[in-house]
Amino acid sequence: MLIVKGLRFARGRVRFQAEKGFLERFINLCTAEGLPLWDGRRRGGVYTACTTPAAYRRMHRCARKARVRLRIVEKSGLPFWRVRYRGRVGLAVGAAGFLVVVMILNQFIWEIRISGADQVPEARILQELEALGVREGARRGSLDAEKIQEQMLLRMEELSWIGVNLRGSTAQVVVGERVMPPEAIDLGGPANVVADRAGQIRRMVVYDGQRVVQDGETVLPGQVVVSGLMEMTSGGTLLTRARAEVYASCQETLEVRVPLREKTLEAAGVQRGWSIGVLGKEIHLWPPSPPQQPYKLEKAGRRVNLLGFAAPLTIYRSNYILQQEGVLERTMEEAMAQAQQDLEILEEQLVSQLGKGEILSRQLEGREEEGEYVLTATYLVVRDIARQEPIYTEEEEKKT
Amino acid sequence: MTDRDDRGSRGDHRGISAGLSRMLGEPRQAFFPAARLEFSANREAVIEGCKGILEYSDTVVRLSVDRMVVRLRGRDLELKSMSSSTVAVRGIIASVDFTL
Repeated sequence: MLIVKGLRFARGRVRFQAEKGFLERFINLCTAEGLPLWDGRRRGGVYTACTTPAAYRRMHRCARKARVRLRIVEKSGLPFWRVRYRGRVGLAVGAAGFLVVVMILNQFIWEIRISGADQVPEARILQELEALGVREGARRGSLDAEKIQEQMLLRMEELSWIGVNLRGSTAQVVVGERVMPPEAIDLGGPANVVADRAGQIRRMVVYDGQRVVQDGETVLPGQVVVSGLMEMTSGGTLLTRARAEVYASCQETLEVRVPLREKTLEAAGVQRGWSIGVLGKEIHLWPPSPPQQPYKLEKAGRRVNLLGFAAPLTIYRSNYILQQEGVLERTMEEAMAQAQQDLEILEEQLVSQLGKGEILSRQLEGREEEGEYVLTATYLVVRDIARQEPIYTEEEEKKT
Repeated sequence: MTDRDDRGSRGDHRGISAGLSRMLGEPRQAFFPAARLEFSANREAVIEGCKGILEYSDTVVRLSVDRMVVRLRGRDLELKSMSSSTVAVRGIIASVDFTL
């Protein structure tokens, strides 16, 4: 129906009135001549219908034969519109220019949509795509989707598959993430388990090998704790790759330094700025150039949407937080409080490193040193100190 | 009406179409299509094979179709579109008569 309306608009439409004479004969003569008629209705002795402008010009002969009087009621459509605006060249130029611009812009990629990424950050995928040429403003004809797919799988081992579809001005990227296998047990050559650092053995879990130290013994760094050389009951020896968890109590030290006097940058006002991103380039509207004094920049962009489609236009709003140099002086109490806070953060990291281990005790010592407050924390911790060290046979030693 | 009765009645095409129909096993209308009327409820009717309009008003439309006259009665009847052999009538159609 829309197509029919469009065609009728393009050909033009004349609504006319026919009265007096023989209306049925008139209609039959028109259809016999091949003149199109539509939306015809009769009210009393008046027949109203629509036809094309060319058909109306030929209709007068039929009207004469049927002794019918014709009168135009309404004219509409492209032919009449063209006559009405024939002096307005700018309209036609503007319409043509618009079509040209749309056709040109359609040759570029303006939006990249990623789907299927749960664990892998989208920012990482976008970064890799950009390295391969898939970016906002890239010319669609210069991109080879198949090659991009191959290269992406080589660059990102977290992906098991990827699909890149270039549709119009949108690049749709669908990814499938790889399920990483669990860490494999190293089944390499024979090895001992040695102590990574000095400590007192608290407990051991031996998976393979023969333990050579007992709980409560003190070990030094590099000392064999679980041997890969096992003596068989039959009298022989067996070389194996020793595996064990060795938990020992040992010492850890953390140190935090807080200056009593330090230079800082303080906020001294905010200056707002605007810019637009077009065709992948950013045009600064205000300010024309960044501020002269030191500043911190916060920027957010919003893509313009037209009727649900992403337009190649992004509006950026910038906040230039002006900075000025200042001096921060702390009292000893303030420095101590800051040092405590910093130490808590480091302590959390230590706890996560210990894993199945634990902190048994902590000793704090604070002092002032060269204009800084130094807080030192000494911990007695229990941690896994096991480390595998290969056993080289005589033949392997000769080779090396 | 049997084929034997059709033969020799007006127009040779009836005899030819009957013969072709028998030979090929196709209905006679396949060779000389008859008029066709299509109704959308009682709001619209499309008549194919129309030879001309005999009477037209907002309550009656009479059309010469094939070898008969079709009369549509109702109200607010309009000729939605017309071509040399097809007419579309729109409105509230109350009844349809066929006159041979």
